[in-house]
Parts: sequence; C-alpha cells; structure tokens
Amino acid sequence: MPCDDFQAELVEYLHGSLPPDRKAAIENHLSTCQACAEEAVAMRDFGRMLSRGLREWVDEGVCPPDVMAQIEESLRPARRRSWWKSWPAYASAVAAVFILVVVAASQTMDMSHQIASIPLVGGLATNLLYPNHDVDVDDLDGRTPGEPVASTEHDGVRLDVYKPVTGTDAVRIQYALRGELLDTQAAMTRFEATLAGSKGALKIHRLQIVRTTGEVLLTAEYEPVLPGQALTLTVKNLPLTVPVDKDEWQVSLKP
Amino acid sequence: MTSEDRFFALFKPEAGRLYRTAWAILGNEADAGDAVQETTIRAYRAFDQLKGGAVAFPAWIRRILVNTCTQIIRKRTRVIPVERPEDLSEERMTPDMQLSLDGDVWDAVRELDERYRAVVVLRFLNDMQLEDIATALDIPLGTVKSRLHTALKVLRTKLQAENGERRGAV
Repeated sequence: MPCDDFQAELVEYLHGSLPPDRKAAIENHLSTCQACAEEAVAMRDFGRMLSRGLREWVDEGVCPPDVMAQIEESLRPARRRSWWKSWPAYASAVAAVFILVVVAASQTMDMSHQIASIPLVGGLATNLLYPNHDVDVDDLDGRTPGEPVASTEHDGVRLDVYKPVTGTDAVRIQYALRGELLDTQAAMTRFEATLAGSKGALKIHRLQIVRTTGEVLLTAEYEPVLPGQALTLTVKNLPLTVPVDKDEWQVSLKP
Repeated sequence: MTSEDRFFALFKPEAGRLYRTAWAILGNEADAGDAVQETTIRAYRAFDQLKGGAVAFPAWIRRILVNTCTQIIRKRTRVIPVERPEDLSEERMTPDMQLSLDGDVWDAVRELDERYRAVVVLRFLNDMQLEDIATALDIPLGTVKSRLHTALKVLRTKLQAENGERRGAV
C-alpha cells in the first residue's frame, strides 16, 4: 500500500469504520512502514487529547442565569399540566384534550391547510363527534380498545394500528403513536397520513386526534371500500421529540 | 418528591455541561441557550418515558440535546444554501478558518468553520460514529470523513505550533 493511500484512510482506520479487508491492508502497511506507524500513533494520541480537552471545557460549564430563568419560564405550561395529572379524580372528567376535526376533500391528511382546532372537555367533544358511538371514557386518556393488529417501531417510537371497521358509509381506522412525541399543534400540522385500498389512496372524511403526553391516538374515517380488501396505512412527518432515521412508516393490514 | 422536582434535581447539575455542549456544536452562546431551552422542554415532556432512572438521565438528555442541535444546523443549511468545496486543502482555506495562535483546545476548535467544527465536536466530544454524524447532519459519509480529515490536520498544526511556542517561551 502506498503511504498516500494510508493517509487517505487514516481517519476511518482510527475511528474503526473501515471494512475488514481495508483494515487488514492498513495494519499490514503499518507493520512495514515506520513513518506511517508513527503518524498513526500521533494522530490517535491527538484525537485523545482533543476529546480530553473538549470534555474538560464542557465539565467546567455553567449555564448562565438568564438561560436558566428562560427555561423555568418556558416550562411553566408543562408544569401546570403535571399538576392536573397529579389529580386523577379530576383528570378523567375535566382534563382538556385537543380535538382536531378534519373534513377533507383531498386524499391525504395534510392538515396544515384545513384544520379546525376545538379545545373541549374530552367526553363532550367525543360524543359530539360520534353521536351514535358508545364511547368509553378511557379512550380520552389515550387508551385504545383491544390489541393492535399491526405495529411498527423505530428508535423507541411505536405505531400501533387497530382493526379497521368497514361499514357501508365509511371505513374507520384507529392508530396510536407512542414514545417521545412533540406535544405541540405545530408538530401535528406537519403530520400526514394516507390509507390506501386496492385502487389507491382513500378520501378521508373525518379525523379525531386525542393527544396526551407521550401518546397520540388518531381515529379516522375514510370513504367506504369493498369488504375483503387489504389496506395500507402510511404515516410521515411524525411529531417526534427525537428525530429518527425513518420518517415515513407503512403498515399493511390484511383483510 | 413530585415528577417536576425529580426532573429539576437531575437537570440542574447537567445544565452547565448541556449548555457548553450546545455551544460547542452550534458555535455561539445565543443558539446554545435556545437549544438547551428547547431540549429541556422536550425532555420534561418525555420524562416519564426515561428508562434506567437517574443514572441514565445525563446520557438521555444529552442525546436529546445533540438531536436538537443537529436539527438547528440542518435548518441553517436549508435556509442558507451555500456551495462550497468539501475537500478544502489547507492552502484553500478561507481566512475565517485559519486558527489564531492563542488559547487551548476549545479556542482552536471554536475557530473552525461551522461545517468542520460540528463534525469534530460530534466525533470527539460526543463519541458519535461517522455514519451517525452523516445522518444527523444530513450529509454524505464521505463528506464527514473529508471534513474530519481536514479539520484534524488544521487543529494538529495549530495546537502543535502553540505547544512549541509555549515550550520555547519557558
């Protein structure tokens, strides 16, 4: 191996990201070339010195008082929510949830243009939305009925999809996101979801979203499909606290 | 002790380190303050999902911080698209990338251009793998390697020169 090739791959070698054959070639070269061996040791020691120097500097850090004050101020709304959560006797009756109703003409739930936000007491809002549906109050805590029929999980965030109900007027599907979720409306306006049947994406008629900390439960009604069809739910731009590698998730539902 | 008390009891000892980590990645204190604030809100809201208890808290919140910072960098990149050569040789470095001759490791690192500084900090302060840095910054792996290679050459030359001067002065 020429010394120039070694220099080009030195960074990768020191960071352990070379494939085994290249690593073996480097090590073979180091055993025969004293100058490159010395350079590798010097670069490794330099990297360690760099890490140590940066960590020492970080360990000496103090968060400025004005930044701490801003942080305390910005957490006030969240802290009030925690206070309500600590009163379970009242929580199920009066905890406000956001009900987002979408009546969409498009084939996807791009809510940024057509959203109506109605903060209401949960039970009342849910009954208004589904007057003929017998709603369990537990739904308002983000709990879903039964076990999911399909799930997918990436980096600690899980998408659970519940059994779709196919009627003559609509297909209703429920799904839940659980994990490190952003609890802001701005994050939800970027969220998109599509339900597709055998002939492509279905038109959405209605969507209900119940958000609680760490969980978003969505109930959506789509145009009816013929019974026995496989359905595919695709969600993207998830409201995640911690970005994950995979931003578009797909779940297939067998008939 | 309430959940809120527990959170702040764990957060406050980490605040200084988080602040400086954000400063190191983002390059200025104003953005560092914003990043720590956003990180704290995110962490507080997800606090009940922390697995591993108090021991796991520092690494957990640091991970949220690094993600917040790299998101900010990616947004900067989208807002200000700049066409620049990725394989800068030392001869082609811009004046703002040249390092001054005073200060220690951080002083040398902070004077790197953002593209180089972020890669160095994520690698050597946060121990991130090169592939993870590429993903976090939304740049090709080859770009991470070339930036790291160039930045290390610059830093080494700079810090060795400083050490030489100090030895000469003694």
